[in-house]
Amino acid sequence: MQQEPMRLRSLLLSSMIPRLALLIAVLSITLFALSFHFIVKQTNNLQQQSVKGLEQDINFIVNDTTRQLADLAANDIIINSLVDVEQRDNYLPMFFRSLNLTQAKSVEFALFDFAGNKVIDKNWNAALPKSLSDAWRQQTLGSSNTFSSVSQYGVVISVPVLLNGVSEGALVMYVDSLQSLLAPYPRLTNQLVTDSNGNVLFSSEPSLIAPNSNFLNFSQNGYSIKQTSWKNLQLYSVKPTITAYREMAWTGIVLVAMIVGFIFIILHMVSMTGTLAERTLSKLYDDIKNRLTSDKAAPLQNEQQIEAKELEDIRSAFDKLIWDLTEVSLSNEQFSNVLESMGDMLVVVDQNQEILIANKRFEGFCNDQYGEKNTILKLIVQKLAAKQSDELTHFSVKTGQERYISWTKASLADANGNIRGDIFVGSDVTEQRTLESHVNVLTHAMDEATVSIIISDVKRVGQPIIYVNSAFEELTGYTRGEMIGHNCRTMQGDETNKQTVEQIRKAIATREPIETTLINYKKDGSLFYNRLNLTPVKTNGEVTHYIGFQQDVTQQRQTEQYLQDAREKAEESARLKSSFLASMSHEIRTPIHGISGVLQLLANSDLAEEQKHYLSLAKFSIQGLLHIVNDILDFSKIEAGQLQIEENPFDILESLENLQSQYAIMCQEKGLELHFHFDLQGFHVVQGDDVRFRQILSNLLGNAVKFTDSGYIEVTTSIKQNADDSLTLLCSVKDTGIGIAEDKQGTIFEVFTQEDLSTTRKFGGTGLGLSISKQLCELMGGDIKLESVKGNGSTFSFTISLEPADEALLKPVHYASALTREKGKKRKVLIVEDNDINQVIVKQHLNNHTTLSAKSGLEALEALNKMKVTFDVILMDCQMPEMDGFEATRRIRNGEAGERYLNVPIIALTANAMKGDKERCVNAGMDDYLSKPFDAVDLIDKVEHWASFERNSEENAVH
Amino acid sequence: MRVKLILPTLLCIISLFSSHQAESTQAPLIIGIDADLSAVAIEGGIAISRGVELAVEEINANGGILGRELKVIAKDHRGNPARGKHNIEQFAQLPNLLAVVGGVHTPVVLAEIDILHAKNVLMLVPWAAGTPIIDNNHSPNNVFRVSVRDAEAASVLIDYVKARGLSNIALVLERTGWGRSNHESLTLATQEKGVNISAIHWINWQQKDFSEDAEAIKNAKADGVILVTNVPEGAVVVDALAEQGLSSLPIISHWGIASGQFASRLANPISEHDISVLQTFHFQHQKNDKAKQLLEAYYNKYGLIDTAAIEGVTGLAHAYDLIHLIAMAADKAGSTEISALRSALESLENIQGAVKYYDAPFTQERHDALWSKDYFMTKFNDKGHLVTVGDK
Repeated sequence: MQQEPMRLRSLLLSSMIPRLALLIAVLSITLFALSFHFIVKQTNNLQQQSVKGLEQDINFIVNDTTRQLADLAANDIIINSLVDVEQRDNYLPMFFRSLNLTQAKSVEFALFDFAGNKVIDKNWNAALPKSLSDAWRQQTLGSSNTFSSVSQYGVVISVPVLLNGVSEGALVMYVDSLQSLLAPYPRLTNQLVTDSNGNVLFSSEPSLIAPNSNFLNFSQNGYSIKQTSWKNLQLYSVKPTITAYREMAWTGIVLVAMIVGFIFIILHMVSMTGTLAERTLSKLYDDIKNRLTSDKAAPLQNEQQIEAKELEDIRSAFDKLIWDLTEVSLSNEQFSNVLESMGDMLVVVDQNQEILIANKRFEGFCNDQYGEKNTILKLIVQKLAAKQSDELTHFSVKTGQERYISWTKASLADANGNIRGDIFVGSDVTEQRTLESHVNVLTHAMDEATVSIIISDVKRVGQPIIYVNSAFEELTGYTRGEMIGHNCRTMQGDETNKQTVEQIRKAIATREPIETTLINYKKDGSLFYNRLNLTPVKTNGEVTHYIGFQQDVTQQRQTEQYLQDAREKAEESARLKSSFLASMSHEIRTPIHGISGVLQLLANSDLAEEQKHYLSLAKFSIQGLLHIVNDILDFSKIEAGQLQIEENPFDILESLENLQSQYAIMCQEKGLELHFHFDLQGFHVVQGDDVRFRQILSNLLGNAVKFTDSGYIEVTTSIKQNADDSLTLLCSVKDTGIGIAEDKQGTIFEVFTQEDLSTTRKFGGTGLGLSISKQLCELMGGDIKLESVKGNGSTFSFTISLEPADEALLKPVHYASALTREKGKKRKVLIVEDNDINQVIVKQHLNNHTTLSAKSGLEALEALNKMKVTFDVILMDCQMPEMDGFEATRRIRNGEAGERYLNVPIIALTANAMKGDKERCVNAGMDDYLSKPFDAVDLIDKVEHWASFERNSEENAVH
Repeated sequence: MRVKLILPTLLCIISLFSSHQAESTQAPLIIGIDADLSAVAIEGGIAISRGVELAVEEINANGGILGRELKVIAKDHRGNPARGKHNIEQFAQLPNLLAVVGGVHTPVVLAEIDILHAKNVLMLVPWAAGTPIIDNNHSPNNVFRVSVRDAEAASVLIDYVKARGLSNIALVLERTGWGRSNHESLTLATQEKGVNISAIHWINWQQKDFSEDAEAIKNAKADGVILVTNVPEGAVVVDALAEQGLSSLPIISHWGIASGQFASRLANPISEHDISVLQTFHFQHQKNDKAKQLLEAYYNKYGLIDTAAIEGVTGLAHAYDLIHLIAMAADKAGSTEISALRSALESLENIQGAVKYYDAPFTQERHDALWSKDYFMTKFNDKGHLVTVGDK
């Protein structure tokens, strides 16, 4: 302690000061250099900006003045004055006096004629040198261009006065110096404009550089100068260097002041820190000293002073250390606690096998055994000595079952290594053994199962198979050894569906179960359809394995395929049948139409009464034939699933009234009464299929009339609204006819069934009517049934589903009354029809009009193009050789028959009666259609309607 | 562009023509043309030049004047009086100058009057109509005219106004000597014939906006407009009236708008307007042999064209007649000396011209050859060509 060490504060200060000084020096030099750099740059920018501004000002003055002058020269007063020599003195001077273009005071204007002679001026005193005077005349009068010049002689701007693009005169402006023009603009720095010889034309600071002096004589020392050129002029920005660096000096002072302040603050902080640390350490030292000398002092606590966190931590760590030292003597209780807390049995014995320590678990075990603790132990020691294994079975007194205990023995040695006895530890493995046997049973069961089972580990790379059962071996031919450790892909091959494999992969990736069928390969290479059911197996809430059940469904597959083929064949043959029927229908209708037409023509000729009677018989037969064909057609449509139920609004009351008036005549002829009863609940406009409804009712009414010889027929119609707002129509037809025997009632709705063959003989008919009606009812969401007593009449009742409809939706009946037709007017009609007979019939029916026929669409187009007359209507057969009616119509609508036929009415004549014909006609652009066979009246009606139909809109829909 | 091409082409044709005649022993006599060939009445200038050329060819083919060939030199005054004066000064320096044929614009001729007399140059006027051109207070008078005289035109225009049943008219005049000459004569004629002038509007050359004046004309409820302008200003006036909804207001125009391209400058089809134009000559109106001869010569030299489509046809016929008249005067005088020519012109008698049969084209007191009875009114057809009234 001879050499007193330095105090902490002094130590800190003495080590800090040199470093701090160095840092400050470096910092100040950097800052100073940087600010110098920026100030120089800023000064430069300012100069640049100033020169640029000057350039813009000059540009603006010259261009803007030129533009204003040009506007003036385009003024018609100026132009007129060049022509109006006599009287221009009356208005030109006044106009000129009012001119003022720039802010300069001494502006001079003059108007010159084409030869350069002055016409009029304002203040014109310009004494221009000849070169300048010639220059503007050359440019403006000679070449009709604008001219501007800025020079020591002042500013001259001249613009041409144009007449038809050529200069007829010039308007000239002159200002004696640039100084007066530029003076009013604000300046960033001192600015100068000189000509190429250095003559000063403008100076923003005349006291520094006088205008008209020479800039070359100006001493540039102490000035920073920026220069640019504009046309023949030089533009300068002049700024004294002194002013630029004055700012620099100020920056330096501020910097020095800041650094000095900074040094003071740092020194103060270091000194403060040193003091604080010194004080705390001294205090701590005192505390420890006190504590060690006194027996039991208060904890090392210092309440009065503020302390740094680290110092406080040291203090408390020190406190804890002392505390731990006082607690170093541990009690033995804790040791025994440890023994008791063990899950296993523990017994310590001396060399005489006398128990020294035994924990409670061992005592508990002994209570469950016969005998006393020591005896039990001796028995255990004996058993262990006799047996190889260290696992013993003990009979439990409490449960009456075996307990499996695994014993371990260790020697008890003292500190010197002498053996003092043994330590036995026994753990109860009963539960483990039970589980093992359980697993065993499961494994056997799976092994012996007849379903092929595999398990794969999805947590391992490659998701290898970890288990397969015997059924699997049998199914695939692979042995366990060959499969375990491999992926299921082993069994896949070329024909395996890649998509299915991908689905499986995805399901496993998302830990979802999946059931699918895929082609797998056996070991011998043969393939089989594998019905695979994969289920995720969860362990502790996480899917670790997948179990798969496999089933060979190859045979089942083959059966399915066979059935599929059979079904397709059946469907194909149904399609063929339906299309055969459709074409048959067309083929039959065409000749029927021929016969019907010819009969109509005959009827119009002069005939004897007898002949007329024969004719009516023939017509009746044709009606019957047509009825039968229609029935067959409907039936075939139903069979082919082609019959579509329409959904249109219609007036059901009107339909019923029509039927009533239709059948009233027939009943009257037979002497029958016909009653109609309605209960429509106000729903007389409904949504449904009007045609099919009438077909059903008409069928029933027809039968009733046919099979009733005397009495009455009663039709009752009612509508009720269902809970879901839909409607149910119930209609019954009651007659007092021959009735139907009870045993026949069941089959009466079947195809080709009448009550018996004798009925067929007596009443005729195809036997399709009731069958069709039943099918139609079912298609319309209803049914039909019969109540009858043989000989006492029948009641047929049927229901169909309808929807309520808005009356406003009813399509208006299109022409019957809407148009006043010009009856009897001779119309020109083009008949396009390939069948000769039908052509003749139509021509005859229309013999009141002028007709022309064509045999195909091509011929029709040719006729339309070549004939001079304009046809009013075209009758178009749909199916023709070369070009059919649809194509011909499309071409006419596209204008191939000329502008005049773009909107000609086209009426389709179609023998087809299958669904979709009407749509095809509309789509092709036809206006209306007639289904063969048609009546002469209908034909004439349609032709006359459409011929007088003024087409002024896009109206071309089939109604 | 078109304007700049026409001038050199024309000069080229003329110089070719003159070089052909260069073999003559004596220096050829010179006919000067001082007209607008490139600015505002180009078609008028071209028609005058063609009339001069066709007459000169006929005269040269018959041995020229006093055995000397005629040569044409054209100078373009662009409608600018200052240029016109400059042209006359240059023509005056030519030793063999016979006479100068003027152009469409009255202001130019008016500005030239003093120089013409100071330099003693004969001026033949085929178009400019200003009354003071002839009534110029110079004696002897060096200016002769075969064209409309504004004082006479006024009475014809006002008669036509009355015949159309109009009584309250507006005047639109160009602000030049021509406009003022007509202002004077129209004012006089309306007073004499009892027609009311509801408004007088002046328009500058190259003025582009006439909307305020058109509105004033509308407000003044004028039932017709008398138009005294050239083509560019005439089109501005008619368009401005159309914008005020006055498309069909009858416009009775002096012939300034007949110098070409009027219809094509209008915003709307000319058929929507009702415009009548004063004329002195039309191949459908004059059917004399001389006129037929002129048309034949025109067809030969410039190709077949619908007679109504010849633009500035009056300038063509007037210039043609004037050249024939000066040639006859020279033959009669037996000299090309100016005072002898002047006297001979004043004493010509019984001459068939294309425009009319001249009993005595000029006298010492009367230097105008055409008078009100020689004028008639025409209208534009749908193609924008002038046709005689009733011949639409």
